Amino acid sequence: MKQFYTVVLDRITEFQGLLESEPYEVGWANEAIFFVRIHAMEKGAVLDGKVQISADGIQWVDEGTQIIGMSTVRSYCVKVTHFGGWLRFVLTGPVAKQCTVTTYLVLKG
Amino acid sequence: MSLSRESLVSQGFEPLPKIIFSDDFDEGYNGWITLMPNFRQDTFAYYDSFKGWTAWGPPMLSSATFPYAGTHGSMHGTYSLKLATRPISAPAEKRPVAGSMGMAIKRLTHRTNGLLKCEMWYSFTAEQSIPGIGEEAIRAFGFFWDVSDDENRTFYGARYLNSANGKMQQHWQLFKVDPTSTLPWGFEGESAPGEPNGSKVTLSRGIDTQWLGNRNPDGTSDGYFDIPGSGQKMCYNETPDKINWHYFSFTVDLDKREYVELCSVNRKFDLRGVGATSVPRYPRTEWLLNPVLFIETDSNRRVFLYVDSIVNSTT
Repeated sequence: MKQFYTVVLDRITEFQGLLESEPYEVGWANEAIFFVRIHAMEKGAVLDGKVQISADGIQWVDEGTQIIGMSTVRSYCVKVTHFGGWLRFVLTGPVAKQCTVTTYLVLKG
Repeated sequence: MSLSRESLVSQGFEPLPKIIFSDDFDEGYNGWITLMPNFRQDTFAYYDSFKGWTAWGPPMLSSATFPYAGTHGSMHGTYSLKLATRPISAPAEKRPVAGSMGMAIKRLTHRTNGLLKCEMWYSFTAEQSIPGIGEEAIRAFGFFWDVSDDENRTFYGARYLNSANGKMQQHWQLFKVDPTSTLPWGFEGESAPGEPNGSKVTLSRGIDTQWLGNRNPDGTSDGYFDIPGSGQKMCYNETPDKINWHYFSFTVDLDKREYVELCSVNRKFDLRGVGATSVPRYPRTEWLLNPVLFIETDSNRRVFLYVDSIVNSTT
């Protein structure tokens, strides 16, 4: 039977401008989904998100998968495969507008 | 997946007669999850007493891969359970700030009292993100049980105090409240839902020692008992990417509510006669048995605890 694990990367977290998730090791997994749940965002705020991979959990490279234009209080997701040993998710938004999010990394392999 | 007694013995374990669990992290997470605060009952928000406790580093299955060495793997395969901190720390005399610890918990109940033993093979290191071996970046790591029966709740724990405010300490401590301390234990206010009779639950002295109590610049606190003569230098090797696996065993007596023995690599400490700190049982925790692993950083650098395998056993 396959392994399965959901990790909450950032939990009901308030931020402005940039939120980089902590490095997470995923070498055992074959597939991943990032979920971004937006709990609240200031009027006019728009978030973009991107997946990054790494050889060592320190130096990060854009994997190419993105979510562009998150502007509604709801959940968004993106799927990733073939990612090596590490994954993280980077959210960017307006510097002056506060957003509250929970981000998940859902792993299977 | 649990290993047979024969397999455990061949891997260097010396379990008591009844094995409660034996976790090899090449077989998955085995039920270890990050330690989370409690929700209020009226909304999905945390009690004020727990704010800031929502960002402890979650456990992960690690291949122990490093920038210049590649993959170290684990002692018995590829994967270990890794606890990571965030790169943030408060001074040693302050309580831990959000993210400065990595925490992992497994939740069980137990069927009897008697002796209880934890064994593990583990390693630890600092993130190889900046030059320097980083040994002084690791404040402390350890293991504890949160244990209840019908009457009492007790935290039995052992912590290796490695460094405090950048100064090496390198000795062992037990979870045990200093009875002479009159300082407030920690956050006041509700910490959990009460019983149906409306009683409130607040944090008791001796509970959640890993982040409560009153800490000092040298890493001592009124929540920790420094084991006499327990100075021990660990095998930290020469760079952060050379990790050596260490043996740890810790035995307590749930009938007498006292410590029995701590073994670390070549050292053995007789702890008989050292009582643990018990408080009246909290609501809905009858016969709870929660083993917990933790590591804390001493600087703004991530530090990691790797557990290859862990066994809990009882008489």
